[in-house]
Amino acid sequence: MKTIILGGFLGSGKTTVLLQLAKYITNKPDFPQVVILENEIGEVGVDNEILEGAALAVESVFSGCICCTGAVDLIDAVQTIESQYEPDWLIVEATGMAQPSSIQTNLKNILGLDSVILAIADASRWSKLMIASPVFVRNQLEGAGLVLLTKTDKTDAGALAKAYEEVKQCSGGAAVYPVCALDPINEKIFEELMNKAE
Amino acid sequence: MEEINENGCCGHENHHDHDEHGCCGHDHHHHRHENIEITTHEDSVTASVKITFREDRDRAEVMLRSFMRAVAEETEALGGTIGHIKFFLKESRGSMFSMTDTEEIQKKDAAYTELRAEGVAIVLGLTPEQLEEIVAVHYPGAV
Repeated sequence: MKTIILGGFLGSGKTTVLLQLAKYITNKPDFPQVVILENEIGEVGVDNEILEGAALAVESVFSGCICCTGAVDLIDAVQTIESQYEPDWLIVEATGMAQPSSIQTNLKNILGLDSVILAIADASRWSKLMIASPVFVRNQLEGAGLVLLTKTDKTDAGALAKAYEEVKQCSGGAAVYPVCALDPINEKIFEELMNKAE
Repeated sequence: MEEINENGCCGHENHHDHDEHGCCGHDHHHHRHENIEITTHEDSVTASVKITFREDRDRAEVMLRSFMRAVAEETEALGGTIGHIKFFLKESRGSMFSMTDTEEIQKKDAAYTELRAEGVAIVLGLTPEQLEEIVAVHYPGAV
């Protein structure tokens, strides 16, 4: 089971990217099976409704963050998915308050499961969030295999260039791709991500 | 919905890390509105909100948008940061099927279409009490 962890701040566009990524993988010639593990911080789900509406297999963990307080729920859910679906691909969508690298560490240490982190950074709010919560926002990029800098359509050129440089500095050498996830994302980016997860 | 024990902790003792008080890492807060649940996690405060509309869809959308905008504006006015405010609006129309013999099955359609919105307002920099107050004040009046 190849595993991708999708992380990034609240409202950065994770679910929008996920819809495209899952569709890209399931449309491969060998029709690999994809299961999504959806984690939401509140007591009610929203993203799972969107994903299930797109005919994707979704398991949800609500009311707790699987990178920390809900780490046991993460392990339980991954084990259940593995035994019930035996999927080719697992995509874990973290909450916007999660540290993806903690999820990666837990999966590796407890289940021996390797994974790659796809980190999403919101270009339009980057400066604002770096003032409000700089350490947290930087830490969300830790261990990223690849970074998408989203909402380029809502960001002026100067702010986008600044965000790109700062995200690049925080990403430990991972490739950073500016995108507008409302438009089709270049398939080469998804291919690069999948190769990292192989 | 999770149960809260006398220590104000949720019942997931086996599933969470615990602090020195034996509490899980996210806190629940007692509230006076049954459709609003307030929890905290790290620096964020989350209001989980359920709203039932008995309006037509256009009117319900207007009310939902107005509610979301009011929560966002007041969060910023109080110096908080909007994390994410998102809702899913579902439409359903129920029908009852009944029979009293082996022949006829009667069908009765509900008189109205129900619209149900469920979602969250996740913010930073506000207290749980502040967010609860904002959400309760602006909660749409339907039902």
